[in-house]
Amino acid sequence: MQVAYHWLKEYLDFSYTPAELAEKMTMAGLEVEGIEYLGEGINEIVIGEIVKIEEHQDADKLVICQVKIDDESELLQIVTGAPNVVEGERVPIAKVGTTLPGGMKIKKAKLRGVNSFGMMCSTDELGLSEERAHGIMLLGKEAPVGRKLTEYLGLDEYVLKLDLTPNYARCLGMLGVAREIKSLYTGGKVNYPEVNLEEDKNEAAVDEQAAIEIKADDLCPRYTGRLIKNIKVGPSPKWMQQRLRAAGIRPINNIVDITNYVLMEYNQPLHAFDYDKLNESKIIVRRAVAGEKIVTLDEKTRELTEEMLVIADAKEPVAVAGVMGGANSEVTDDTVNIFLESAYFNPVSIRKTARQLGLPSEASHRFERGVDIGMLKEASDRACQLMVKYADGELVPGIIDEYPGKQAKMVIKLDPARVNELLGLDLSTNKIAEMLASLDFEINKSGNLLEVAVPTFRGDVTQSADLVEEVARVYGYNNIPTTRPISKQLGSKNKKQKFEDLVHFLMRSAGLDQVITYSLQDKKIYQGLKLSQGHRLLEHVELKNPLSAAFGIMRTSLLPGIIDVLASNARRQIENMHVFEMGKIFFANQGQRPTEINMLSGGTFGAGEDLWQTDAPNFFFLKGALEMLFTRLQIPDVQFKAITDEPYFHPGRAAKIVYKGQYLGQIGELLPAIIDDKDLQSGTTVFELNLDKVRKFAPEVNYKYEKLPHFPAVSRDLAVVIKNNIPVADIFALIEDVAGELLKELQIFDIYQGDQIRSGFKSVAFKLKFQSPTKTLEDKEVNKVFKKIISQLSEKFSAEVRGN
Amino acid sequence: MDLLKTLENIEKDAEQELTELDELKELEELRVKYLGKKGEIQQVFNKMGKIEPEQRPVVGKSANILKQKIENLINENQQRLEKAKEKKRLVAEKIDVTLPGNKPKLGRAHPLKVIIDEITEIFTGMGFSIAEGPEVESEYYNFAALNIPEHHPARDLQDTLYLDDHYLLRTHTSPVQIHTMEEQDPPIRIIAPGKVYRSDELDASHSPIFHQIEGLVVDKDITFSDLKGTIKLIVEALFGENRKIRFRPSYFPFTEPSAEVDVSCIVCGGEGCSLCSRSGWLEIMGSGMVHPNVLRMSGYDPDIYSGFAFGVGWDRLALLKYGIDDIRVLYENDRRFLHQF
Repeated sequence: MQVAYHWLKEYLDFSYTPAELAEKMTMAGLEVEGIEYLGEGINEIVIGEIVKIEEHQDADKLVICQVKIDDESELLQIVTGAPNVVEGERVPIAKVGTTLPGGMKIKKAKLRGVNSFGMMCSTDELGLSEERAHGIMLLGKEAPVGRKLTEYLGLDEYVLKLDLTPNYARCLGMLGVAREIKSLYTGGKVNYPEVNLEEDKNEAAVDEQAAIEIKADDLCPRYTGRLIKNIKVGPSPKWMQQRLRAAGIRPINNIVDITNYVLMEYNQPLHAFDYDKLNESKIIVRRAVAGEKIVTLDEKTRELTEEMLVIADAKEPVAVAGVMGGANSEVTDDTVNIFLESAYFNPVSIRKTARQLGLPSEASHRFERGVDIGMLKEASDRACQLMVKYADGELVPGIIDEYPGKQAKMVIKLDPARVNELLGLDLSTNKIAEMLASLDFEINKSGNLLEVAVPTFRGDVTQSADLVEEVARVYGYNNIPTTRPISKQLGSKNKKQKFEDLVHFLMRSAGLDQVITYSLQDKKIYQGLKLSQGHRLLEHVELKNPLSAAFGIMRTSLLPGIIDVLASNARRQIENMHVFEMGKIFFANQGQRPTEINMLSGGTFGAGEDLWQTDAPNFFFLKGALEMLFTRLQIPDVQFKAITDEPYFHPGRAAKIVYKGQYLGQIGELLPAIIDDKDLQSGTTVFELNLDKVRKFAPEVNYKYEKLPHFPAVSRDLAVVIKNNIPVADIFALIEDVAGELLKELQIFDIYQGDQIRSGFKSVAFKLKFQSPTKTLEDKEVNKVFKKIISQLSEKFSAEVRGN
Repeated sequence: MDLLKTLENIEKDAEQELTELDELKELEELRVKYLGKKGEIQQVFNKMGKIEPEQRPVVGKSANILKQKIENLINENQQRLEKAKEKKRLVAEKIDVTLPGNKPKLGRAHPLKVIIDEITEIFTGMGFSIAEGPEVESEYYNFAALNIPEHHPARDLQDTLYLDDHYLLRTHTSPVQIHTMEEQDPPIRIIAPGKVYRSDELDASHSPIFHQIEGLVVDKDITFSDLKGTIKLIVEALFGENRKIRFRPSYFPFTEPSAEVDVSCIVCGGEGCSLCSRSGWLEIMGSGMVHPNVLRMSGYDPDIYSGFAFGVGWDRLALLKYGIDDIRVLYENDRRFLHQF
């Protein structure tokens, strides 16, 4: 909705500047998105008359014009190359010193030796058209010399662009806006257009010449029709065209323009039928028959459904009610007689029809939001008055007004005490009544309650809460005091949230940066993971109406997002990066609500220290972070078991993460082919954990003190040579098992493969620390355990002890 | 044989040698030289038999005195030398304290997390708890229960992404209001941060996936002025106490009265600039009193209970607070960006 400032002033007396008005409207709930001054940049342009044209002696294409810009001043000499100048024409003149919208400043100039004192302007130079114009803008011989161009063209106007929420349907017309400002700010009264209809007494009454039958009064509770004869289709008056343009509507001809003008005034869509094209001069408002067709004004054939409301004549549909007229009854240049519809249609019905046909329009927009059923006749009268005046029409006496859905005004019972309770105010009942009355509600007191009758233009008000908002609006939102509700509860995060915060903290402590990636992804991203058919990551949920393929599916893994983050950073010459993300993944669930799983995922490249000299620093960096995580979450003995079958992982550098036999997640170096595809750094490693499962295993953090040992510890080193394919974890498990309770610490401090070890074998060095809580250990006790460990290692793994 | 003379010479030599000494290890040599078993003092004692008996006590006494004196001298010089050695060591161990430290490599929280931590702290301090809800919602929770019937123009306010005829991606965090009211009895006091989805093309100010923070308070005697006070507090906590704040009528189907909340522009302070489209104000959240229809549908009697709700664009808060001019930056996760927070 666009509100032209000067136009609005015609209906209401106010003294606000356009900016003040915009502020008032915004604060009333009619948000003004912007103010446009239509004459922006051309306020100094005046209208001049070309009095005389002479040839330029030294240039074929130039002429010298003498231009009159007012009665007093001397004629201006202006040299121009424009091909269309004619003596006697009136044109826009930019005098010396004027700046044009494009930024050009007009200076005195000499063109091929002849002085020129200004410029005649074309429409594009004035910013009035986008395209380059062929010559000077010709204003016609009646344009007043000396007047400002903006005034003459109606461009001395400010347009306020409103972004109206659906509950402000009443403000989709100028009169509604005026009424709103009157009610909230200025008081006084709205100047409705004075309508004195001159009916043609020679004509038979309208109900003798036409008939209206409403067959679907649930969808059309009121329908009015008038007849205007002998109209002459032609251009509408200039002022009307200017106002329509200011409202953002393109002028067409007087009939269309008048219906649009009244639409903008009264917020009532009108439709003009060519009366002579209506079979049997009959209007039937009914539901369409399934499969019925109509060619609409845009010359497209539309198939209708039984849900749609049509306006039909005795034979066939002539309009899709409230949405678009039919070509068969269209007003053309040859139209002589007009049947004018002013009606109310069911908002939901209009909305469904407009959507199904893909035909949103100014009319359907308003019908969807509800027009004022009480104003149909007034709007019709106004249009008739204008058609008589500007289309030379003869008005047939009377109006057909079918109003089967007429209802008494809705009355809402309002408890003033509750109003105060809800707003935190202390207003008297009278004050509340007065405030509502200012908004044209009719008030009756009934005991402690107010009975509030809702005017027909307030379709948005259906219950007392709506009236509470009205009281707040009149009182002023910003005048309501500020308080805070007394808290009776202790606020806190729940266990899940605390757990997630802890995970977050631990990941950051491990040096991982948190990232957030899109949970909608491109299907193709999963192709890059080299998944085989049937892989579980392909069980994704697809969007029914995606914006684009890039956001076409819901992610089934955080890994693609993590990989993308690592890749885009690697491409920016970032040398090392460690990241994690916590977020949901989604799996299709056979038409049921998709499964949402909370995941923790992460990745790294450029980790520094190559702990085991296996050229896998990233793997062990991330693994270390996860081990620390599990330790701090008090989930001991989480196992990392080698896996070779995840298609996107290096088969020799990947593990699943298992606890008590349950799969928690996985970690792995990306397949070299993926690393190459994505320009990632070699060795880039990622992991993912099912956070919901991890949380199930994490006990509530509950620390318990264990007495510190008093007795000294005994350390022993042990280096064993074992087959390469034996996982160190197995050796670990065996040592721990054999050593029993005396073993307090077990660490690996070296792994060696090379010259001194035969191929296919590795040397692993452990440090064992023994300690007893009850005594100082003697060497022979430790030796006994140590020997047992050695013999078991030898037995189970054929391990040879080095340097023993 | 003048042993006294010898003692005098010894004394002179010892004094000179000891005071000129500058290495600690040489001190031991001197100790041996003078006080050792074959040392010079001992040699004097050894020669005692060869002198006059009456001289012996005199020489003996002098020798003992000298022995004591040299011992003292040695000890003094030992201390001197030890001090000098320690000093030398400290000088030698000087480091350049301006060299950079060994920084622990801590990871960073994403700016959205930084903001929500701050907000959570404020709200838990006011007795709020944190609620959550699914990102995939049914029509009922996303619309109908929030007083947005089918075929109502209010559905146009949000472009919805659908999964099928039953499920959609929540367009706002407001469905958490409904879940909470269904699961809990009043008093209710929650905030609900989370991801939301709209069918908006990705550009500098729109993203199909973004974040909101919902707030809901339901109890007896909750007023619009409570809403105002609560929001004022959070705005001041986030943007400073000098921030002006205004409430203006707006429309959300699930609140009535509804209010849009603006703060004075954080760049121009109200003068008007490009950030605030010359208005001097920035829209930061929608709010209102919970609509009676919503209360009723969730099983609460609107004549007894009342409440307020609000919804904030979480990303937008981050953009405003940190002066980020493009929402996409939040999801690009450039390391140089992440390390600014």
